[in-house]
Amino acid sequence: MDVKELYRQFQLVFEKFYDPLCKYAFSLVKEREVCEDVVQEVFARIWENRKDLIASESIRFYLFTAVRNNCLTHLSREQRMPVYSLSDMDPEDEAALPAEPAGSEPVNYRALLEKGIEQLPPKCKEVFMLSRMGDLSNQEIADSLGISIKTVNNQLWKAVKLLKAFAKGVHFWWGVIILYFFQGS
Amino acid sequence: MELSEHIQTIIEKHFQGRESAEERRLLEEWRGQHPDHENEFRELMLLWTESGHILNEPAFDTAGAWKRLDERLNGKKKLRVAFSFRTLAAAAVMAGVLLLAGWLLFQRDHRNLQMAVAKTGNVELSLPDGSKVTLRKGSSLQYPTVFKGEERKVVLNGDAFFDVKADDNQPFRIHTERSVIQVLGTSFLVHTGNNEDRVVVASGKVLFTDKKEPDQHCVLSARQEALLGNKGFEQQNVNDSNYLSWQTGVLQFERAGLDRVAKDLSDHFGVPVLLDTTLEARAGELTVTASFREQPLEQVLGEIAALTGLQYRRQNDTVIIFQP
Repeated sequence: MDVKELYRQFQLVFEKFYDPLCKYAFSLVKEREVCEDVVQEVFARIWENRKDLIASESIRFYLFTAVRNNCLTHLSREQRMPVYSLSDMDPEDEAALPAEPAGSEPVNYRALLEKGIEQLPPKCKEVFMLSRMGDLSNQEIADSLGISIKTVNNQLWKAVKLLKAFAKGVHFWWGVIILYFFQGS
Repeated sequence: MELSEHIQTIIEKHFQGRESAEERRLLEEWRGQHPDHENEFRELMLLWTESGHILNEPAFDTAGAWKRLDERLNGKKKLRVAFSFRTLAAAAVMAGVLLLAGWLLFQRDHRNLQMAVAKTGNVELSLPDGSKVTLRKGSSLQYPTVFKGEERKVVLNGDAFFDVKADDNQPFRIHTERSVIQVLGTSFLVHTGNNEDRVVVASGKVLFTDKKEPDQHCVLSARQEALLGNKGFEQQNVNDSNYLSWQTGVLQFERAGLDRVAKDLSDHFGVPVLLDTTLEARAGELTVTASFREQPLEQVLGEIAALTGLQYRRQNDTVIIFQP
């Protein structure tokens, strides 16, 4: 493959993964500009040093792992631990939100989910993001994070369960509020 | 509904389209067992696809970013100043990041150099002079196909244990970003971190030199170690062999102070393990005697917690040990 063709392929990889990588970075570093810089830097390094990765199967794994490492380095350079809002610090097993029997699909399901994803506990969220944004297998996530595959399985399952409970829980409370106003009128 | 771990794992794989034919069959069987199963399955699927839609909505300007990168790579335009500072800083750390990338990969460039990268596990290497190197997972070592000239020069990023063949005429020199470590024939460990280099000598003698200030150096003998950080060299004797734990899989503590334990765990597992501030003040008083062989971090922490009556929590990547 000549360089021009390779560059074209490089651009395709960039276009495919730039947004997912930035989103993933944003789950670690809450500054958009830093996230974009980190991701750009990773791509620049690939073009400068690791062209062999461009057509390789392992490019996704490499990209997400590299972005993560650079985000953590950024945080440690700034002498900061990742910052989380208080809601993230809640005991992780507070999944037992009031559950509704499965019924009709909530109208605002998507908005709820979006909020739910925001509020996942950090580790859980990271595994979820890697799985979704990077389309990484659980084994790849385990390798990338240096944790066991069992932990990845559990964290991913927890993410799904928490989201489910969250969507239902909020739905339930909306029901309560609507009912309240309805009775009041 | 609580699902068995096995079904959970299969459903997770199904989300990702990675299940095997056998697993697909099991999943279908499970779904057919009870209407609740089917409902649960549908609900989880809906959740997965819907959250996928949410996450796929573009949030960053890819086209603009490509334009910037393209300009940068093709040198059409000077970089913004703020960006180039970040670039430099990021470039410095990228060196470390690159390691995680490769499987055991040998690359040759035109100067006859090769690069060994340990991706999936520790790698044993034999250098052209017969010296042995154990490269820690995630580390890389660059060395020539033949050692020519006055020195045997290798470039290390990460951690490695060296067992160097003696040769007075051609000293063996390990270059890191920060230091040069010279030996005549000995075995020792080099750790290069973001903030410090650490050399632990098992046998023989080593000359450890600051790259920036070559006058700054120290000589280490067997069972001694030195750290080179921002404040210069710090030298001490070695009391345990945990510095080799990544090679041997064995972590051993004998009346070790809790601060020491936290540090060794961090080094071994590559996960920051910290003491809570109130605990830190009296870390010296609390000691741990225990030994672990190839146990996962969770297990080790659990055991230490049981031994000391302390507890730990995870905060993102960091483990914090605290007094309940």
